[in-house]
Amino acid sequence: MNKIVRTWKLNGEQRTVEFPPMRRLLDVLRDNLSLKGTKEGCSEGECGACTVLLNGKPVTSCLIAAGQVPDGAELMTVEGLEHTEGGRLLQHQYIEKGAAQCGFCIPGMLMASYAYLAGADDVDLREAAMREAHAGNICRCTGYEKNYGSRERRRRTMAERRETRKNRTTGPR
Amino acid sequence: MGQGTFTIMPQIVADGLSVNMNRVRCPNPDTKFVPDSGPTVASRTTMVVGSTLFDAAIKLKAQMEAYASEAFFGGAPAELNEHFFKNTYTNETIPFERVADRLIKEKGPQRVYNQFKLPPQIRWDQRTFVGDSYPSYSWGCNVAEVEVNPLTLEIKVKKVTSFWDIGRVINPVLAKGQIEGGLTQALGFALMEKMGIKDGLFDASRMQTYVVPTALDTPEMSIDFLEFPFTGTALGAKGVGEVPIDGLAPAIANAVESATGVRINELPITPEKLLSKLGAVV
Repeated sequence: MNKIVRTWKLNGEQRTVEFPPMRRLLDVLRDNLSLKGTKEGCSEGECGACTVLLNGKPVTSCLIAAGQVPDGAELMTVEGLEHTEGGRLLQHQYIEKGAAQCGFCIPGMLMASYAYLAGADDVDLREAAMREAHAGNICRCTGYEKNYGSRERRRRTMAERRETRKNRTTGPR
Repeated sequence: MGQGTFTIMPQIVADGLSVNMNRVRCPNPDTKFVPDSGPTVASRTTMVVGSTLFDAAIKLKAQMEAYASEAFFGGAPAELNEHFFKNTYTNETIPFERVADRLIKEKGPQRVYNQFKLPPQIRWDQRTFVGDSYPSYSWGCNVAEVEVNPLTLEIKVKKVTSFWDIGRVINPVLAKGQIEGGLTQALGFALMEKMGIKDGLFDASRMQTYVVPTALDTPEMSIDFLEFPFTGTALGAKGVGEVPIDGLAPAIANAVESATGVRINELPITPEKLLSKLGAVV
């Protein structure tokens, strides 16, 4: 198959990559760009393990043909979190809470958290809304409570969200 | 993968040795170096491997203390406590590193061997299958509060309250996570997860058809531990692997019966099953 060339802003850096247009974004990220943090779970858009941010919005990268992602698109994978203050705060909170057990869902779960908290000015921080924002990410070993269930967690999230917004490198245009 | 072994085993060893946890490394298990200790089954790792390591750590500590006593304190008893060996007669202290460096130079790396032994009161006859097949059990108590929609018969679990006796809790954060995860699976098992066979094939072989709980399906959970350390080992830990998934489905079935008056004896408890039973009642 003929290959195409794309230049994206990936985790804040310009990256040019060549691939067959129908290759899944997930495979281009993992295999062409060696970003192995993004995980393949169900391969059918149900589990959310492969969630990355495309122009600030969470997408399941297993369902996107990489050729559909145009030049200049902003992509963020779990590897990009550490370059932002908000991302680092999120990572620390996940660690502190013991949110990861086997950890397979965590790259996608983190991206869902980041996208939601950095997503809009009027983020709804009530529990139901927080749960809904993470409903596309399935965890099978440590459950969901440690990610956003507790009251304490929500209080901390307020502060974290302010930081995330202040320092985000990617977000909706 | 993900059971917390690499966190709690160093914790247990550090506790047994009375040193800081960051002095303990936990390599990948390899039967080239250690005997095969059996599989990861029956929630046994913490109790069996943990106890084996705990007792081994205590032996290693005694070995190092004996050396410190002889090499530094002229035979007076030495006690290892975090960063120092202390002469218990004079309260003189020598840093851990100094004792360890000299010990390794003089005698080489120190090794201890320890094998798990069943407590003497536990008896099992492998020939007749009579006795205590397991030395201890973990226990749990689950309370489920459910709402049943009288029109659609949808079942919503509003809150789960649970208490657990897993012996001595080694790591409360990980133990609680295991229970939250187990309860979440139990919830799916009770109400959502349905796998049938149709024309010789599973009818729910993918995540699109086999629906598991998401964050929107899980109720408020209240989880507490009641610690009754297992008396058969010095460590006192039992297991937390499987016990969290066992009790919630029956609790939900009881709550549904209390709400609707009908008992469903087969999981998952679906609105369809409720409808057919209620139809029979009416």
